[in-house]
Amino acid sequence: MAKIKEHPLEEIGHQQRSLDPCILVIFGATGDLTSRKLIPAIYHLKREGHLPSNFVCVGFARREKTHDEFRKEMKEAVSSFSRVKPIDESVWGSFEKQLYYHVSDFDSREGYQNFKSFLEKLDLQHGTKGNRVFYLSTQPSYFPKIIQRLNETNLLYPYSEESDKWSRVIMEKPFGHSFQSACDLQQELLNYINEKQLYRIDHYLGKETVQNLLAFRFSNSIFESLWNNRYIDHIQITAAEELGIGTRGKFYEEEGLVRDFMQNHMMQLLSLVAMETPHNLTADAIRNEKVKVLECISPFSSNTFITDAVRGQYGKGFIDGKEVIGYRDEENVAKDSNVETYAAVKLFIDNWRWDGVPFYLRGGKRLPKRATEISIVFKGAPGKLFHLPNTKVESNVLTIRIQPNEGISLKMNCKIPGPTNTVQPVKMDFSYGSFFGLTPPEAYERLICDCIYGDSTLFAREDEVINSWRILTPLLDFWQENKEREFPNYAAGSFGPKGADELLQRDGKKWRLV
Amino acid sequence: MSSFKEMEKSGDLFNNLNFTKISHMSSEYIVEPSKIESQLNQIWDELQGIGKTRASLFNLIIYSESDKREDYLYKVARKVIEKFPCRVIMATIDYKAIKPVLKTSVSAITSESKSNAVACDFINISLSLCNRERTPFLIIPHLTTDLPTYLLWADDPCKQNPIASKLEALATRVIFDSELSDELNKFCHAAINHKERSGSDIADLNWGRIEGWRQLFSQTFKTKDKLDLLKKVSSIEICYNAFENEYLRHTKIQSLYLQAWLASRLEWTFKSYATEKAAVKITYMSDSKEINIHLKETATSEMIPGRITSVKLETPNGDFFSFERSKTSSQLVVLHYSTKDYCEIPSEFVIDKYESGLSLVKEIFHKGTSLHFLNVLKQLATHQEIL
Repeated sequence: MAKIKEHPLEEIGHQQRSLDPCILVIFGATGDLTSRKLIPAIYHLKREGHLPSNFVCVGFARREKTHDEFRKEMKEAVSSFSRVKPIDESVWGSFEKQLYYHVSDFDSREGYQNFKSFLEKLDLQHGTKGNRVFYLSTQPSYFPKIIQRLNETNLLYPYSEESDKWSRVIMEKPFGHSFQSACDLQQELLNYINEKQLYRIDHYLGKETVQNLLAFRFSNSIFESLWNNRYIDHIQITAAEELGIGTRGKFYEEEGLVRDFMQNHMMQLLSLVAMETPHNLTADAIRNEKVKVLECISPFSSNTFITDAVRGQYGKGFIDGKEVIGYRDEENVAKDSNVETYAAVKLFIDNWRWDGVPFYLRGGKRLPKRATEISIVFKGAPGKLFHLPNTKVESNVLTIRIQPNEGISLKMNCKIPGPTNTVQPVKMDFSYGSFFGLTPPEAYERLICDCIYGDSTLFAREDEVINSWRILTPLLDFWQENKEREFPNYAAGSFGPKGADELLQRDGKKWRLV
Repeated sequence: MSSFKEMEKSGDLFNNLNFTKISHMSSEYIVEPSKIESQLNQIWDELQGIGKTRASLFNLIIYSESDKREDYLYKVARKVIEKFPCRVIMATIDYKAIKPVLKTSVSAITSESKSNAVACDFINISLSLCNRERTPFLIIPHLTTDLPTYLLWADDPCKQNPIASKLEALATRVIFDSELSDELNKFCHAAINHKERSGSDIADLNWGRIEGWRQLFSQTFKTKDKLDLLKKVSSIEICYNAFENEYLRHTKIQSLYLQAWLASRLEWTFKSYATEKAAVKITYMSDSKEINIHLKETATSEMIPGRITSVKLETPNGDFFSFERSKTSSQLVVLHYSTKDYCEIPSEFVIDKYESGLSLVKEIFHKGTSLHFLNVLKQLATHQEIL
């Protein structure tokens, strides 16, 4: 039945939003993401009473397994990976009755026909009303085929605002491998599905601190009035990981760091930091403004391949005092691999607000610590009032810590108590943990809930993804064609290659110590 | 007996000025009012070494005139800080005290969750009745500026209390506990009057306590076909736990709220209210059709008093909805839906966790005054027979 615009039993702001009954299907249900993130997230939604009262979750995969075997495995997964331990037996006991498993090849027409019948039976048994979320947690190469088969078996309904039932597809990254492949993939998908039914997940957008970026910028007038090229010198966005590539050697050899997280996570952060004020908080209003930012960034060209971008690959080194191997010695990695595990780039946003303000992005594996943050470095105070000998007057820096130790800090200068006018930088710090206590929900919890609700604000739209590829693909092509002879060029446990420091030194700046 | 002023002057007024450490989850020190902030700072200096972080999102004033509820309110405060760290200022008026009493103590309280690194300031103020007027003067200096202030008015708002308006003036939002009123009808009037008089936002813990049920109904009747069925319902049975304990004695309130909420949202017109032994029958009209609501008592000591245990709804066409607490876990509600020739597999919904303080947490989370709640108050206020 059709959705009611104003439901008499709902009150916005005084009640959780209520969700339509539905079945959530996870394709690739035997994979790591399902056991580590998705099922624990859905279990938490159940535990907190955030799932619809009529709800079923079905795992879809090729491996033979019974419903009970799947339930048992998922219970172990929740016990291991849940953010709240131990598992609540009564909640699990209830949840597992809503958990099913279906065996099929991703490509088998017959498998999908059987699957359709199975879902219809579940609809009748559980009152799920034919509403569907299909979560594609498989290798990206399967995405078009799965969506085609879902369409052929009428499991994907034609999109309509007025329709009495809905179907939506959540897609994991990466969306494409380059600008052209992303465009091709999009074209192919549009044969079977409407863009409004596609939810491209970027789990960074589900993080509380990333969501807070909008609130921080647009509900605090003191910062927004300084948020432009008059006051800001430059912006640094850092995504550092201390982990190596682990068992993802094959994936990394195909993708590299830029595709793994610069093209998606970091470009999302950049567009949220740089966007203009949306006229409201609807998905389209926000995403329109994000896209405008990306459209103002010129793609890399022969003039900037060398000067504005640096790549790196880690060699052996030390993490937490323990010796670790270099990238080329990792499992499933070529001994002469040319793949980057570090990248630093300089970008300019060609609009009134940001004219002349460089945005420096750096991301890397096997850096000394895990830290994702955005630093807004303000211009120095005018004049030389406090520029006394042996006195350091530093620029104000506003840092938004995405993970870990989520929070916001402001570096400012203060006079050291005493008879001289010596100035010293001090830090004002807001920490999420201190203020809000409990562990914030996992990004996947919010995102799954939003998809069931039909809110695509925190998902990447087609033009965001395509524009991001448009900027970075020429650089990736250049790197592909021009092998880096210096690899490996940074030791595991260091802050990246020397070239990355030089990138900023040329502009008279330096990377912030994260 | 020495006069209050003499006692105050001599220092006897304060039970102990030697910063006695009381063994507890956190240290508590009895101090003079003027030493509250300095003693708190001293406590925090001591706590720094064990990795606890001092945090506060708002001020929470808890005002109570019943010494019996102190432990209960302390539990409530701890539950609140688990979710939202805040500075808690608890003022308790001791009616029985013969001598003038003014006792202030400070401590840092932590949540029940051991993994939580956050701890909060807790200022406890005990006063005899003759000192009651000092309450706002003791509280005001210790409110953290620029942060919202919530007042949990843990007393009957129907009673005249000169302190009420003074504390309400400090508050962003006043949260009542209708449990403390002997007559729900009068409570509703008092709450409405308060809202009209002060303009401040109001809430009630019992309203917060049925949020899970309201959510469950919204979810279940989310689609138009199910909502249409709800509109056709002719009979509703609400069972509640009538078992009483020392803190909770007015066990019917949540059921009355739930039925009044349904009636106001579905625009039913009140017709009659009758009591039959332990049950209540309320009749409404909708488009010349009668809707009969029965409130029935059950009694179990294993569940918090007043909690709704089951709701059953039936249409004249034989559509039947049953929401019943699971026998294995009372935080789960089992949903059955059937028609004359069809039956859905029962599903389960996590409705609430039985922990003191969660209703207050929910009400702090919300902003403004719920229009649904105001309508329920108006609905119940108009019918004097509803107690």
